[in-house]
Amino acid sequence: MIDIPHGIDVARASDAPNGPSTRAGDLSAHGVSIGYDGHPVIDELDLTLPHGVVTAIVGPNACGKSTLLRGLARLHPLTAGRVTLGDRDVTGMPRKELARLVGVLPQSSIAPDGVRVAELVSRGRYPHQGWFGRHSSDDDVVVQRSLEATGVADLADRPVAELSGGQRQRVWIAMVLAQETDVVLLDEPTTFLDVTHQVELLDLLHDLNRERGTTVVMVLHELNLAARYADHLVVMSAGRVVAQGAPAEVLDEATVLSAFGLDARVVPDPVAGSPMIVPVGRHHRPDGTPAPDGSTEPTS
Amino acid sequence: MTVLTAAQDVRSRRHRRRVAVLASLAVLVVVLTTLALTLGAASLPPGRALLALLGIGDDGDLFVVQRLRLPRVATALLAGAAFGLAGALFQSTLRNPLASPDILGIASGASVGAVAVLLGLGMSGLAVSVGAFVGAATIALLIWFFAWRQGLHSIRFVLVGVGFAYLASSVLAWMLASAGERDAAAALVWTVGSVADVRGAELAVLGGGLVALTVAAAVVSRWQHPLALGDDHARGLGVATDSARVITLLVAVGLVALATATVGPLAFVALVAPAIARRLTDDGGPALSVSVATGATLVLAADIVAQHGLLGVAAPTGIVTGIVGAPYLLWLLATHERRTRA
Amino acid sequence: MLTSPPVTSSDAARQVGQRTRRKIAACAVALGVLALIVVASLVLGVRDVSLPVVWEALTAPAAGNVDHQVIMGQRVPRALVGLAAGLALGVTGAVIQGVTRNPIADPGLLGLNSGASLAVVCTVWLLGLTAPSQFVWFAFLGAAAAAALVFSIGSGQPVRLALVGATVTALITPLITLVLLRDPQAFNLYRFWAVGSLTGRGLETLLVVLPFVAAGTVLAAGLAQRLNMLALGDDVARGLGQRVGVTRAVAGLTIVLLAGSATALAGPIALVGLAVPHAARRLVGTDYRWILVLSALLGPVMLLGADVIGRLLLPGTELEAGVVAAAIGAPVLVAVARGRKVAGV
Repeated sequence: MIDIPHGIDVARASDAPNGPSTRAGDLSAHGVSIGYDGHPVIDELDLTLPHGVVTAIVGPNACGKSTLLRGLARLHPLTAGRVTLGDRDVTGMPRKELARLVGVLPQSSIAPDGVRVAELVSRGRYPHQGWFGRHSSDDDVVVQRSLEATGVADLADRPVAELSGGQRQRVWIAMVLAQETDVVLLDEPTTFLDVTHQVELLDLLHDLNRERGTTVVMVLHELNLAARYADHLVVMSAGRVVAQGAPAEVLDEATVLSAFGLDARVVPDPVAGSPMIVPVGRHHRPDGTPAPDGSTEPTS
Repeated sequence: MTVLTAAQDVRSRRHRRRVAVLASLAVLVVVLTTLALTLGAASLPPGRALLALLGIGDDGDLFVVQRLRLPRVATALLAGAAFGLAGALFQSTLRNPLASPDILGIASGASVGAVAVLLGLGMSGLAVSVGAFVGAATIALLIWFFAWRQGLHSIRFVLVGVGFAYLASSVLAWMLASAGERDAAAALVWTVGSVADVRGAELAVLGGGLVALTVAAAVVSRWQHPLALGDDHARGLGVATDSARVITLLVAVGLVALATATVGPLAFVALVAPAIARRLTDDGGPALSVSVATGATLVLAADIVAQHGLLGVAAPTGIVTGIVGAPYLLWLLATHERRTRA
Repeated sequence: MLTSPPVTSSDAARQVGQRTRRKIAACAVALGVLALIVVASLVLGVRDVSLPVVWEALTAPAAGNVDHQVIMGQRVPRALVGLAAGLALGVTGAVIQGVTRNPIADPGLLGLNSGASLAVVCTVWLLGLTAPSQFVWFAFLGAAAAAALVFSIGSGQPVRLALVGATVTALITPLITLVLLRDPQAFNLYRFWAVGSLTGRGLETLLVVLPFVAAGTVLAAGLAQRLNMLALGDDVARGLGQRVGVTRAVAGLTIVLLAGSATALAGPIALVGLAVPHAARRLVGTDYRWILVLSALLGPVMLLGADVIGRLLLPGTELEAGVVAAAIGAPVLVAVARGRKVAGV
């Protein structure tokens, strides 16, 4: 039976505002503020995403997790603060240089009419090419490797528009891989995929991390998959980080309740042993007691 | 034996298709040029026309071909190339097939400038060209100024451009209505656009400007592929989207202003030629080189029809560009609709 | 979210009530402004006439009185033409943007104006007709033919519809110019017609067109709810039980009736049909019932207002309503484009 007054976990988040200690290659936000048309979404946020691991950022709708990712990737301008990668300041770096260090897959991707898979993946070589965009044989090798790594080499000749959702998403990831960056940021890469393709895609990202040492940072909706695949989990709520760390340490019933306003049981995943969230809902209370009072509003 | 990677394979086939399209258009241009040099009041057989082009033949032939017909053909090709390239740059940079200088008011801006000089100041010749250039540049700057809001968003640019297009064409209609009958008729002819009577210095300016701006376009073309994926992807690939768009649009506006100042606003070439070119290459790219060739072919063909083939009367080139290009584009659109449904 | 801090039904009702009051206020203000503009259009002009004299002219016109002749013979017809054409343009713009879900769609972009213009020009050229009341039928026919061509090729896909409209315009505009170059008389009539003006159209033209305006307005009123559903996408509209094809067909008929009437009355007026629905949307939100009502009021406000301003700008002469309307409409459109959400229609 959960009976925790909301707001208690704020203390835990502020215990370790910077997460793990900063190492070379970590992607860090320092006092970052981001807003849309003068409305701040994220205010003075500090966060360090560790190098060489898979990080998942989770949180309820409109908690600012996508905004944070867009800010880290410089898709959206910061109103204050700076972002560093290792000891390099990313904020003022020329875009093309940044694109050789950090790859990003935005939430919505629409391929131009008629473009074929190999061509789209070749676009990922843009940051490495000179003024006139000549393709070198190195480029072709990288593109081929990216196609094979994502399992779309057989589709190389097909128009992107004809592919299924899962295939298309893998093609976009292949394009980001072709950028050959140490860090890859992905904004909800599993949206619109069925569960089979979700798992397939996350396996792919896992392999990428383990085999190439690429730092993977992704915003995810699906809590259980995040807990399963992330080495490092960041929980956000109302524009702030409320908890972070290894999923097994972070994801407990109190955090789920405070961040998501969801009354849930947390049990070990029977397959991987990672925490698994089982929502209670209104109609399935084992003891018939009412939901904890005011639990649906995130803490402020 | 080296094995081609998938990327090389697709790319070489694309390359072959593009070369095939360009070669067909080049053959078409050669045929049309021969036709243009042959037809006319003093009809020459193709052989004599081509020899005269090389400087062989009697004085009469040389005069007709080199002085009368060749400049007109050259003007048509150069102006068509400029409009085709400008339209392709506009449409791919703003990611909108409607974003051509005709729809965005830059063509009507040039008309207003030129007609103001013609009717308001009573001048003609080079002053009209300057007026057209100033008109086009002014409208482009106004759109850019009003559309800029924390960056240059495509839909905003298009909406503001459409507003200015209506404003400019309204002012143009008013100027035509306020003028005397004869002046208005002369101004009307200018607003249609014609490749006739462009010679010497004007032609040199058009050619030189086109070469310079084409080089600039080749440089900015590297942004077009990333921009076609949308702003987020383009930024992720390392393109500074706002400055890329501004620079590309400057080149495009330069092309439109240059061509319009010389030959007037040849209606809808910049809208139609890139749309046709994109369907000929069909690779999701901006089809810049094919648009250049399509524009040149379209205007040359239109001018031949305008001079010799339309209802038996000579008409300004600009009347025919729309009539030649639009039905073909409509046909492409109608059949494309069926293809995507199937 | 049952346990969230309760929003009581009375709170919600109050908010809805406030919003409704705001919409009613917007419409009332628009109506008031329209009334003022109608009065101004009767009083102001090259020859200013005082209000009591205007009243006298309306209630008891004297045969020999020059002021009364000006009022009844010129200004009243002009005001009525402005009201009818403005209403038609405002409503048709809202319907077009609703059915195409495209923020830059208007009668001009869909090729209707050029179709009407070509028909008018050909009428003058081939039949030698010169009076606007004789153009009416041909303007309708031209607009309808262009609309049929655009809708049959573009069939429903918003982006393609706009491209097809622009291409059809690209096809027709040179044809118009061709006729104009061949026939000086047609050019002379056309260049005055094409500016867009409320003068020179007598009551007889208005009487011919009025039934079409009325029919179009009634159809548009019936479309309001259907457009609201269509705004959610074709599939959602179908899911809510709408026959999308029927909606499109009725909308097409409405557009032809209204745009054809407006063009026949006042010439190809630019920008009113484009700017007015955007302004209305800004004031009353996304509900097409309100957008249509407010567009029906703001259309005449803009067109007749432009006419009045055109009389005052240059001393001794008048600027045509079409030019002034474009000069007013362009800034309105720029303001809309600079708003936060431009894509939302």
